[in-house]
Amino acid sequence: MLGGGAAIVGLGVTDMARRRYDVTALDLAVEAVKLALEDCHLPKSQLDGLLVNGNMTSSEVRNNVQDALGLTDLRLLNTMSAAGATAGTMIQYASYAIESGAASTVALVFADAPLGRNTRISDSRYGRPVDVASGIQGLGRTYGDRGQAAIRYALAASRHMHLFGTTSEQLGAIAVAQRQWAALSPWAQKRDPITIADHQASRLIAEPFRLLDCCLTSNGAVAVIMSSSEQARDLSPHPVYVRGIGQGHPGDCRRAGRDDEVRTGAVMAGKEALRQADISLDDIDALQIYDSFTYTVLVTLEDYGFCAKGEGGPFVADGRLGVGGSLPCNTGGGQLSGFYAWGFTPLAEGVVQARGVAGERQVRDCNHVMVSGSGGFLNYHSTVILSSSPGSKRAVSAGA
Amino acid sequence: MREAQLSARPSPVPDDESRPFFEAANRSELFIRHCPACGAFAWPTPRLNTCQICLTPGLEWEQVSGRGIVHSITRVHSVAQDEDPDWAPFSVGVIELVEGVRTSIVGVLPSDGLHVNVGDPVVVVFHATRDGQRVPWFEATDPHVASQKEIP
Repeated sequence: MLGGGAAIVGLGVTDMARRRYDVTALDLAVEAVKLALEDCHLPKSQLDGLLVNGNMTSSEVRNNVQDALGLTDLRLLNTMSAAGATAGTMIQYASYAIESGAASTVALVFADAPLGRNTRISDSRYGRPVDVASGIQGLGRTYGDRGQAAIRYALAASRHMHLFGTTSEQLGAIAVAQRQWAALSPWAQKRDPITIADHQASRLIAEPFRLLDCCLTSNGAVAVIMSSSEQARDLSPHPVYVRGIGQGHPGDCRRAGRDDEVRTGAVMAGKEALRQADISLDDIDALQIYDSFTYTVLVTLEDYGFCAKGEGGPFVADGRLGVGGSLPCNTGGGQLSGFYAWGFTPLAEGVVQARGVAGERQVRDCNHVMVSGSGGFLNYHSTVILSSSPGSKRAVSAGA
Repeated sequence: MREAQLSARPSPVPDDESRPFFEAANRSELFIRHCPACGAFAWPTPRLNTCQICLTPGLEWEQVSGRGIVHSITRVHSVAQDEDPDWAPFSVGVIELVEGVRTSIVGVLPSDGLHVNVGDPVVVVFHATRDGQRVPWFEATDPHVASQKEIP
C-alpha cells in the first residue's frame, strides 16, 4: 500500500537533565530504544528495521547497535548521515520503507557520549581541535581555525548582520525565549531564566556569538519507533503522523554570487514538507527548529517564510518564540538550553507536543508541528511535519 | 597584529598535492586551482583534482591577483587548548577573489589596529611562520577607507 503514511508510535529519551558518565553511547542507544519499545508496549522481536544516526564522536554506534539490542533477521538496516539534517532523512527513509511494505516496525536512534567525567565540555570531542598539519588543510592551524563549528556559523551570521543589520541582541532574544521553555521541561539541562543582559554579558566565542548563542553538549540518546498509520492506531493511544517530509541541500562550490549563508536549504525543504502535508505556515502550531546556534533558528524562520528574508532579527526580538508568544519555538529549550541530540532534539519535542503530553509547556491545540534539521554548516536541511491527525492520504505525487 | 606573533604560528607541512601552493607562497605568490578546459578557478580542495564546474579532470595551478573583498569575517576569542592564548582575539574570514571564487576560511589581519569588515577590499600578504614556511593572509587594501571602528 503506497502513500498510506507512517506514524511515530514510540518515543524513548534518556535522562538528559542529569550528566551521565557511567554509560557508553552504545549503552545509551540500547536504553533509548528500550524506553521507546516500552512506550508502545512492543517486544523487541517486533522490530524488523533499525536506522542509526551516524554521529561524530562514538564510532561504536555506527555498526553495533543491532547486535547490542540483540535484534535478528532485520529487513531494514542503515547508518545514515546528513549531519544535523539526519533525523529527518531517517524519518523519510523509514516512511518509504513502511509505505512500500519493506519493513513494518522500525526503530530510529541517535546516541552519543562525548563528555567524560571530570572534563570540561571544551575538552570533549566537540572541543578537541582538528589536527591536520599537512597539505592545504594545514593552513587552519596557522590561522587558528581548528574546525570549530562556532567559527563557521559566526561567518554566516556576520554576513546576515552585514546585509540586513541583524544585531547580537536580536540573536539573544532567541536564547532567552528558549530558556523560558527549558524552565518548564524536565529534560532540560539549563533551566535558570536568562535575560538579554545575561546574553550580552556572556563571554565572546566568535563574533557575533557569545556563549549563550551556542548549543550544549550532552551524553544521551533518543529513539523513536515507527509503523504504518493503520498499525499506529493499535500501538499507541496518541500516534503522531508523519504528514510531510522535505530535504534541501544547496551545495557549496565557493562561487561568487551565491549567498548560501543567509539563504539555506530550508527554503526547498520547508516548501516540500508543507506541500506534502497540504497545509500552509498558518497551520503550524509549534516549531521545533534545529538550533546549533541562535542564528540557525533565525535564518530557518526566514527561509521557511515566517518572515521576509532579512527581517528575522526584528521578527524574533518581540519575544514571540517564547512562553506565551504567538509562535512557540523549541518548546523543550532546544539544543541551546535543553539537550544536544542533533536532529533528535527537535524531533523528540515535536512528538511530545503533537501527542499533547508536554505538561506545563504544552502548546494549546497543537495539531501541526514543524520539525527541522540543519547540518554541516547550513549545508544540509530536512523538514518534517508531524501531526496528531492522520489527514488525508499524504500527497506523494511530484509537483502536485 | 605584530609580525612576531605570526612568526610563532605553526607552519603547515606541504604534501605532494599542495607543494605548488606552498612553493608559490614562499615567493609571495598566490596560486589556486584552474581548469584548462573551462577556465574556472577554484580554491584548492584536498584530494580533488577535477573541475567542479565542467567535471574535467586535471586541474592546474595558476597565479591569481590575491585581490578581493571580504565575504564574511569573525573575530575569534578563544584558541584551541594546545595553542598560545595570546593569539586571541584573531580574525578569520572568507574572501571573494576578483577571479570569481571564494577562499576557504583564511586569516585576516587588522590594518593599523582597525577592524576589517564584510565588503572591505583586501589583498593577500605573505608572512613566514614558525618553521619558515610563508603563508597567505589577507589585509585591507586601504585601511582608512575600510575601517569603520577601532579595536577596543
